[in-house]
Parts: sequence; C-alpha cells; structure tokens
Amino acid sequence: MNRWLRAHVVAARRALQRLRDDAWGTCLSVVVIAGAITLPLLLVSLVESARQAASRLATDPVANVYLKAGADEAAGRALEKLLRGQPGVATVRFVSREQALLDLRKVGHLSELLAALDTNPLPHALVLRLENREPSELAALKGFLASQPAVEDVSMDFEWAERIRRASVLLQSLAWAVSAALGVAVLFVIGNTTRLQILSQRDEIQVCRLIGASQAYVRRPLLYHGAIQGTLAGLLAGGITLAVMRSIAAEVRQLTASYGGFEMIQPDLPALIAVSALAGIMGWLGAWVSAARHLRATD
Amino acid sequence: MIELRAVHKRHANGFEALRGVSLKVAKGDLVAVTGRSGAGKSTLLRLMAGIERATQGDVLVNGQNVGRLREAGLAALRRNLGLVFQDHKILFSRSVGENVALPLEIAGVPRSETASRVRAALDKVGLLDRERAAPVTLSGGEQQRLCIARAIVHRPAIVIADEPTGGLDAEYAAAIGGLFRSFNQVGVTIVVSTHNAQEMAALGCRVVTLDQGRLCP
Ligand SMILES: Nc1ncnc2c1ncn2[C@@H]1O[C@H](COP(=O)(O)OP(=O)(O)OP(=O)(O)O)[C@@H](O)[C@H]1O
Ligand SMILES: [Mg+2]
Repeated sequence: MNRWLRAHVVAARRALQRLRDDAWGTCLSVVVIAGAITLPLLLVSLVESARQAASRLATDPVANVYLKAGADEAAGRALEKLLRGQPGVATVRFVSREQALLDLRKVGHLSELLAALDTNPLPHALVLRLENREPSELAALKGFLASQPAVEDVSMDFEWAERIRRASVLLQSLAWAVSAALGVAVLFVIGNTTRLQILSQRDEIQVCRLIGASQAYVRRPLLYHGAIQGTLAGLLAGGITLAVMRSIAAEVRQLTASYGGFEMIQPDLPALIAVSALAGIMGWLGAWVSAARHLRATD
Repeated sequence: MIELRAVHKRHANGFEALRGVSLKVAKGDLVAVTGRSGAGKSTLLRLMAGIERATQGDVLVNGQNVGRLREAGLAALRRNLGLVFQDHKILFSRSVGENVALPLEIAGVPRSETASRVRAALDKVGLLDRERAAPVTLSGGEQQRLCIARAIVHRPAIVIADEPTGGLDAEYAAAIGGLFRSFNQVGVTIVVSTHNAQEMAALGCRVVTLDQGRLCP
C-alpha cells in the first residue's frame, strides 16, 4: 500500500471509529441531514411525474365551439366568418351536425348506439385552432365566444395540460430553490458536527501538531467524518423517497386505472447512487470549510 | 546541526525571555541546558523546535532557518525531531502504546511495523509491560519515561527534551540520564534542559547555563 493511500485508510478508519463511539449523535445528525435531502428529492420526483402526466394530455391548442340546438347552418357560417377576423384565431372550420354524426359513426363502438337513435342529437360546431396559449388571452377569447347568441358551449381541453405544464415549470424552479437552500443547511449541519469534533479533540490535535502532524493529517479524519455522514444521510433520504413514491404510485395507479393508468416517476438506482455521492461530497465540503475555520484556532 | 545566532525572544506581554543567545550544537553532541526557574530554558528549546519564533536573530536546524519555515515546513521539521515536553502532553484518552505510536502514525508507518517499534521503544524505557495500560495509571516517573519513548520511537536524529528528569528522585533521574547517554552513543544529537547541572556533568555532557535569558560564559 502506498503512503498516500495508507494515510487515507488510517483517516477513514479513525473517522468510522469516532462515528461509532458517538453512535447516538451520529444517528441524530444523519437523520437531520436525510430530512433536508428528502424534501427536495420528493419534490423533484413529484414535479417530474406531473410534467410527464401533462405531456400525455391533449396539448393541441384547439377549441371546440358548440352551437345551440336551435341555431341553423347559416348562423354557424356567419359565426365562422366573424371568427376568421378575430385576433389569436389561426384557422376556423365549420363542422355541420351531419358531418359530426358521420365522423362519430366511424368510431367503431359507438355506431350501434347511434343506429338506435332516430334523430341526430349533435349540434353544429366550429373547430378553432388558436395561435396563442397565454391564459389571460384564452380566457378573454373564451368569454367572447360564450357571449355569442348562437353559442351553447366552448371547450378548450388543452387548457388543463397547459395549466399543469405551467405549474410544473414553476414547481420545478421551486424544487431547485428548495434544494439549494437545504444544500446550504446540510453544509451547516456537517460544519457544526465538525466544529464539535474539533472541540472535543482539541488536546489530541494540539499534541499531534506539536510533534509534526501537518494540517492535512489533522483535517483528513474530519473530512471523512463529514463525508461518511453525508453519504449515510443520502442513502437514508433515497430510501425514504423511494418508499414514499412507491406508496403514492400505487394509489395513483388505482385512481387512474380507468384512464389507462399513470405511472409515477420513481428514483432508480443510478439516481440514488448519485444522490448519496452528492450528499457525501457536501459532507466533505462542509467539513472542509469548518475545519479551515476552526483548526486555526487550535494552533 | 543546531545553531542559534544572537537570538532574542520577547513574549507578547513585552517580557524578554532570551537576550542575545548564541549557541552551536554539533551532530552527535549531548548538551544540557541548565539554569534557574524562569531563566529561559523552555523558551530556548521551543525556539529550536519551531514552536515559537525568535523576535530577533536566527535559529538554524539541519541548515534550515526555522523562523522562515512555513506551516508545512515546520511540520516536516518536527517530524524529524524527538520532543519531550515539560508538561508531558500525554493523551489520556489513549493507551500507553497508542501514545507512543503517535509519531509513527503521523509519519505514515505501516501498522504492522508500528507494533514492533512501539514495543522496542517501551522496552528501552522499561515500560514494556504497561503497553496497554491507561496513562493515568502510571506514576510521574513512568509518565516521563512514556514521553521519552514517544520521542525516540521514530528514530529521530535530534532529541530535544525539556526537563525529562524534573521532579524525579536522584536514582530515577540518573537512570533517565543514562538513557540519553546511550541514545547519544548511537549518534543521536541531544539537547536536554535540567535544573540539575551536576548530574548532567557527571554523564560527561556539555553543560551550558542560562541566567535571565543570557548564556553564562
Ligand atoms: N508565553 C509567555 N508569555 C509571557 N512570558 C512568558 C511566556 N512564556 C514564558 N514566559 C516567561 O519567560 C521566562 C522564561 O520562561 P521559561 O519557560 O523559558 O523558563 P524555564 O527556564 O523553562 O523555567 P522552568 O525551569 O521553571 O521551566 C519566564 O520568566 C516566564 O515567565
Ligand atoms: Mg521550563
């Protein structure tokens, strides 16, 4: 074993021993750190799931305008002409009730049902393709359409997908902000345990320095101390997130079974490894910063 | 090997503990620094080990100017010295053997080698049977011998010992003096401070005397 490697093995062993000696304190700080990691991890998983859900909903910017049962084709054509000049409307297509019935008949399982009817229950309709997705403009357009005397109902299905998309973008940035804030919190928690380590080992550090230990020699076990706690906390946080997402996923799957089922995103093994590694690096960093600040005082 | 050139040391409170000390210690020398309490013996030894810096003059150890060394250089210098502190600096949370092993750990000596070298050092000071004992269970003289074992375990070329016989009865003091004599005979350069000049002169070492921060001629 070369010198460098041996120095690290010795430091890691010493750190593990200290963590074991203060098992209760170790558990406490690991749980606290895991809590700080679990929150953003859950948030990111939920946001990603919502985004995936939104992407599966209808996203075509299409509005269907249904006319009143009493409105005839001429009224429909007149409205078509009016809407052509409307800002925000790209194209307008008039669909007569006869055409709509023919279209519906093509949908296999409905033809029998429709055959049983002796009159056509469908109204005339207009299909609009819209240019813009701004919620405020959509609302204005919807209001304008609904106020037309011949119009019975306006549906914009994509509105929901759009709302979810927008909400998820917002939530995503929130998730990042929360991650950053809690990342700083992790640095502080680890930094504080490092400070306590330095205080409790003050004599030992002083004696080691007097007989020739370098700063690096004294710092190394502290860095491992922080990194091991971070890694353990990352593993715990990953486990909690996985468990929570599993149970949510089961609920959601049941709820959405009739819509073809919907799968929540769950952190996979590489993601969990990445989270633990990141938490370990944070632990290392937190210990480093704290050691840099507090070791000087023992010299 | 060690050279002091017109060294002054003024402490933070303005007290001048050393006033122009010049001293040469050649390779293989055995030098005893004596003087009354407060004469500046510990200060002199701490300057040699780079634990304190001279306010004036130069301290050279192995050709290096100790006062100009940076943190890493000082650490490297001290790893090559064997130090015995007047206040012992024993770690009471570790066993006797673990205390002695400390310089080897710091130097990165493999564990397999550490064990035999710790035992050899403890054997030299007559503490082999106390390897696993807690330092609190040692007598004052035994604690001093533990410190000597820790100072020689890594086979330094220079040993600087601050009152290794302080507070011991004549018989014990003579035994420890003999110990230093034997280290010196295998080529180790040694500087010890002591209250007892006669006892050191009896061992045939060079005795220098400090008085109020000055070397007596
Ligand atoms: N950090 C300090 N600040 C101020 N004065 C100090 C400091 N260290 C030592 N002194 C003073 O310097 C003088 C020399 O101290 P030193 O410890 O070198 O004496 P000594 O010869 O080792 O004495 P002893 O035999 O009692 O160990 C003493 O008068 C002491 O009070
Ligand atoms: Mg002294």
